[in-house]
Amino acid sequence: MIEYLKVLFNYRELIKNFVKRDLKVRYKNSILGFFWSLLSPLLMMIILTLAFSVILRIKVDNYPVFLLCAILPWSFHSSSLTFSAHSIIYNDPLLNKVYFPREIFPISSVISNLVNFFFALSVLFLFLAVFKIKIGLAILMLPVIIAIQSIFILGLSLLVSWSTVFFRDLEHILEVFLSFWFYVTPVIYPTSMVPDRFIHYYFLNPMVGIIKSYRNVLMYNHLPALNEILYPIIVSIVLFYVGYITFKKYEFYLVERI
Amino acid sequence: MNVIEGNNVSKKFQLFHEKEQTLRGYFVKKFRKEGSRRVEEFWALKNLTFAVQQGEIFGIVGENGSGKSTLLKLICGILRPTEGELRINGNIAALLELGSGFHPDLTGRENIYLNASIIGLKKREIDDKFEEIVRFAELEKFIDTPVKNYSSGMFVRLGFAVAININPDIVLVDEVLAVGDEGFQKKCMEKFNQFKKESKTIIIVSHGLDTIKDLCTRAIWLDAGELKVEGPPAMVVNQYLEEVAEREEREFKARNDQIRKQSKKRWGSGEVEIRDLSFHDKSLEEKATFQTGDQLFIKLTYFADQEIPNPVFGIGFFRDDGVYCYGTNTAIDGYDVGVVKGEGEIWMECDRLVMLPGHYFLDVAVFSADGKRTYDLLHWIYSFKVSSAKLDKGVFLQEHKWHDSLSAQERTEVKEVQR
Repeated sequence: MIEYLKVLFNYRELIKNFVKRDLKVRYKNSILGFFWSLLSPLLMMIILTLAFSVILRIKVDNYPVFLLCAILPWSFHSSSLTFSAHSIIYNDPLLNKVYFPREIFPISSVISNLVNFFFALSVLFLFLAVFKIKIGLAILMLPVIIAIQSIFILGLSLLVSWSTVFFRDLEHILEVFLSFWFYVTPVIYPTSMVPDRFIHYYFLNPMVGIIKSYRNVLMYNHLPALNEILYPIIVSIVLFYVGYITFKKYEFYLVERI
Repeated sequence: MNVIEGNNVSKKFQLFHEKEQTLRGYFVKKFRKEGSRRVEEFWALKNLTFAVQQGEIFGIVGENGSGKSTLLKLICGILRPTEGELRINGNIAALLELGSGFHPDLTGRENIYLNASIIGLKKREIDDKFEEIVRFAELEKFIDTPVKNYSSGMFVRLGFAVAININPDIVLVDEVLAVGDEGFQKKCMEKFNQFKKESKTIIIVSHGLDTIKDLCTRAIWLDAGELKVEGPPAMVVNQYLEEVAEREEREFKARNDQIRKQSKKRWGSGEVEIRDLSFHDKSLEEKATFQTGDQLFIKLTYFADQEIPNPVFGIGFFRDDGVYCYGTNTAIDGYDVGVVKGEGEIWMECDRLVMLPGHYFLDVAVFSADGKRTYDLLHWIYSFKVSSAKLDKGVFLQEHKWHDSLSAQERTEVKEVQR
């Protein structure tokens, strides 16, 4: 495992260039360019605020900010997975031409989405200021939470990217699964609205602890609750390990099966 | 020093006959326990043992599907051997499918950085070589244009320039020395010779056997995944050519026998055998489609086991709906073939093809001098097509003229012409 990561480090230049390519290509042909990465979560925030705060009347203070704190990590999560699922098939010509560690494809997909996430966070801070929410010392934990979520996403992406090559159906299944996952994650509602009898099962979803921690440090100036964040940490590390090992196991079959 | 060393390298591919890359297919198979039935195994390389030393120019020859590309992919590390061991010392520049790593929306500059880092270069190293790459590719003016606007020549030049300017230890070349215009080709050959002087290792896969003979210091011949011959390029290439010629001859015989077996299409006692028949235009180029009015040559190749005096060769033309259009033979025309033995050919020259558009099939035959014995007859095996820009109807073009009235004088003129 350590060996793999060492090799990967030697290829940092390539990862950097892939990320650059992804970002450039994504925004090159649109007029608003990279502002889309800021605009689309904002539009989603407006729509969801209308639906759930104005019409369904969920009682949460500063609902738009409450939403935004979850939408941004969620879109980092869902678009990373979608991108990774395509990443190997999309890079088919490269796969056939030259060897480099293949995990670079899903990894750079995740990183380019992470970069987008960073841009989008700047908008969030703007909103925190507009809604006069004070940022406290708990914000120092933000990088830690981002790191935990990134490891979680990397593990999943590694799994999804190789298995999509073998089972093309996964692309479609993933789409459906992500929309299900969205509703069992506290993006549009607080966890306090989840009925007590489900709450234990509810927390089996690692995204619950992660999203709650984002809100805690960004909105409420609370440190992440240890009992909430410990489980995602363990899941992330296990998933990353399993994802990486299985990826390496099937790496050389990818080019034959694509 | 051996830069490449292969010990009993074998590579197996699995051919999936049915598309089972869906979850449903996977589970259905698991349940029926027939997962292995539809998968066919195919050994692209079998027990290949070879070594390439530093400074060698190593050629690989072989027919399509003999495992050459698989071997190259193994050397680049794209594939891994199923069995055996392959050791590589040094970094590789693979000139395979040039420019395939380029992204159309990125500029030439961005693609150079991307492509060079794929090969494993650091930013600083790319910075150092950037100018040289651009100069080599002759793309100074277009370097900040997206490569989707490049011509195919520019595209390939850039790919070649990146691959060749990264100072590799081993260069893999797959049929790409013939890129770009003459000037660029000359530059490529210069670079190639420079590599030679720097005693870099070069591996060439080519169908251009002369390239292999001229450039390589050693060659191997792969046959159906196995190493057949190894040695000096001239020897390997010559043996390969001999074998290919032999193989073609054998295939030809097999095809002829097969045709003979389909008895409805061919029969005869076989003393003289019709080997082949082909259609040629006025410059003797082989063709299958002619225009009404064209000059047509039919070449017939035969083979006689023993001496046969004065055989009769005949050809009959049929339209595809079965209409017997024309038939003749050397006896009717009073053409003396003489005594034949061994392989020979006979030509039929048709000055002006009178047949109208259609698909025409031939009966080709060779008889004994008295016409009683059929040595060989091929029924409707060879055919050619006739097209025409004119709209005449029927089987053949009747030469003709139109007049509003024929005066006595004109009629006599016509008569004179006829005489």
